[in-house]
Amino acid sequence: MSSFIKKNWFVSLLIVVFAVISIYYIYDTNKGKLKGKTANGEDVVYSINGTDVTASMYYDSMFKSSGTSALMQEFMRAVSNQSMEATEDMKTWASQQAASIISNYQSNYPSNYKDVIAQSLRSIGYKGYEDLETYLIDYRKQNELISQYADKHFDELKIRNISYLLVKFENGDSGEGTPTEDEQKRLDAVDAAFKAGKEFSEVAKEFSEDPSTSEKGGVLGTVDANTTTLDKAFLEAALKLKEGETSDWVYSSSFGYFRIHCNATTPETLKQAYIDQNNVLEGTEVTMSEVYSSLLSSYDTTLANKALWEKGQELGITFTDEANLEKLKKYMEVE
Amino acid sequence: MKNMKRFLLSASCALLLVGCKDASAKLPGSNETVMTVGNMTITKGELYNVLKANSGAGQVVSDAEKAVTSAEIEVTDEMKESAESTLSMYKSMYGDSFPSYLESMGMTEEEFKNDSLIPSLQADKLVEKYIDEHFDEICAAYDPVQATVLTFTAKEDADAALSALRDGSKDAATAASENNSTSTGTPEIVTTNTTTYDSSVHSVIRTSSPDDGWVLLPGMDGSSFYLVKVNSHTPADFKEDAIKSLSSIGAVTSNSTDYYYRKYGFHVYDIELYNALKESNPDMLVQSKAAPTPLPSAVPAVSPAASESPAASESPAASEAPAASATPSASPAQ
Repeated sequence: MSSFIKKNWFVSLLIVVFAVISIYYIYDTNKGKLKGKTANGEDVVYSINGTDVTASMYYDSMFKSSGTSALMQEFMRAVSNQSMEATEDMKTWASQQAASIISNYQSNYPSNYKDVIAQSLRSIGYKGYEDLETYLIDYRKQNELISQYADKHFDELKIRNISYLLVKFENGDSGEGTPTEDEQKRLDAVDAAFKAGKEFSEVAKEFSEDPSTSEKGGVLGTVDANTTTLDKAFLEAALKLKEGETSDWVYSSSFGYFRIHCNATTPETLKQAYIDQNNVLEGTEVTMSEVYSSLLSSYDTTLANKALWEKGQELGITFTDEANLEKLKKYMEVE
Repeated sequence: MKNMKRFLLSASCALLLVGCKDASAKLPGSNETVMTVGNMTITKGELYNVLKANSGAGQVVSDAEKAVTSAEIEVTDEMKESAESTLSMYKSMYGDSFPSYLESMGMTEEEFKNDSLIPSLQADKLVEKYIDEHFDEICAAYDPVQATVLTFTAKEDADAALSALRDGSKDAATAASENNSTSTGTPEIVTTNTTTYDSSVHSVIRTSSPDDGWVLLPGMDGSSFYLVKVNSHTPADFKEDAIKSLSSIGAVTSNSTDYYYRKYGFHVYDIELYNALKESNPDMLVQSKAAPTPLPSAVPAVSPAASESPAASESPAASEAPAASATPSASPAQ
């Protein structure tokens, strides 16, 4: 050994120098890095009070409390993604939206906007920042899918656009829908206005005691048979109306007396109602997806899930664990 | 020589690959299929990533807190009764939707009570236990004093209340309500961290003794008048109330978290979780920081000008003097 070192002293010196540099390099690159740990051959996520919580334990714990919601996210992503081919219009829109989102995040989170975007995308099943446009295209596909579902089930869902006016109880419900003297006077004033030939929006503006809609001529928006957020008696009466019809007084034990007007019951008239009620600029093309947006966000919260489920079944759904399938169906209310 | 070159080259390449990344805990079996929709396969690993991004930090906070509280705080019968009554309240409040809520959380009623309601009650007691065990040290830092403070907007009202209190014809609550005070007249704990009162009130509270009785003084804003009476400067006399008051101080709760998570060796080995906790619960990450510095001794929350004013005088007679001298021109607000 010593004769080798004597013979190759220069090479030996190089080896020693290299070894020293290597040791320093390893030390330096690991300095400040979070070190991992394994227990029973598995990666540990964290430890407390002498217990090592492994990735499997951590997964089980999270899956127990939030697993079905995570399954739902993945299901939505998978169905939306495969529901249709992306059109050029969708791609252009997604690209423009992505640029706008990035610009917004850049100004709000200048140093880590990519991380913030990536985190949001990971929470809904996408890999990260690079998936932003894919997510936006899937979002458009999903809206289109729901719109197609609503079109297909249009009659069954009884989709319609309605307005209303309300005469409130004076001091809570007087009982059984019998108006007090003063309430009757206010009801009569409304009836007289209709008899005089005034338009529903005009009467609602003048007489409705619900300030949230009276200013807009009583416009509520687009509802359907699965709407869960409206008074039962109100919805039942609204669903019976034909386009252009106004209901008689509808008694609601929670609010008072309603007159309901049906503005539209066909895709064409719904589009026109959307244009009129949202002050859409003349010449702007309106899609049914836009027409259904308030229905989805405010009234029929089950419509999106039903559309996704129907498409999912068409594509084919297989679960390794049948219990997860049952949980998802229940979560989506599609049983 | 050729071999030597090969060795050096391989060693250099290996060096580049040597652990220069933060640790990330890998889930075993992450390639296992959970569901298939059309041509897309969703794996356990993908689901793990969604779960981690959504509830990863929250789950650890909840589980780690349970580990600490179950080791530190005994479950009492009172807690069990309280949890039972909260459960009944939820059941009657949410009716038919309550079982569905529990199901969505993957819990039975019994699990909800034992794994959620009772741990939450235990957690409430944790900071109090920390304060109890470090009582003298924390009291030295925040100097809790039990005092009664009545606030008035008119000097005439304050004078009338003072007169009634001095001749003993009214108690504090009555004197307050009969003379337009916004205070209830009940004794409270005032620490150096209390921000309800200005520095002139703090000055009197720190320097008066219970023997001084009621002290009248003007507020620093020139539009408030205070009647202050110190009941006790000895925290041991009002320990329970002092603990409750001290537990609302942010720095105390932070130190409590630091203390217990250090005691139970909380350590994270996954960079994504580490970063998430750094954002949401930085106090828990004891592995990355030095132990907190000892608490400083109480610094009177009083400005030099106020401390020089006669309001700080121990004489009750003299203590009324600043009311007259506190002209608007003397107020810092000017």
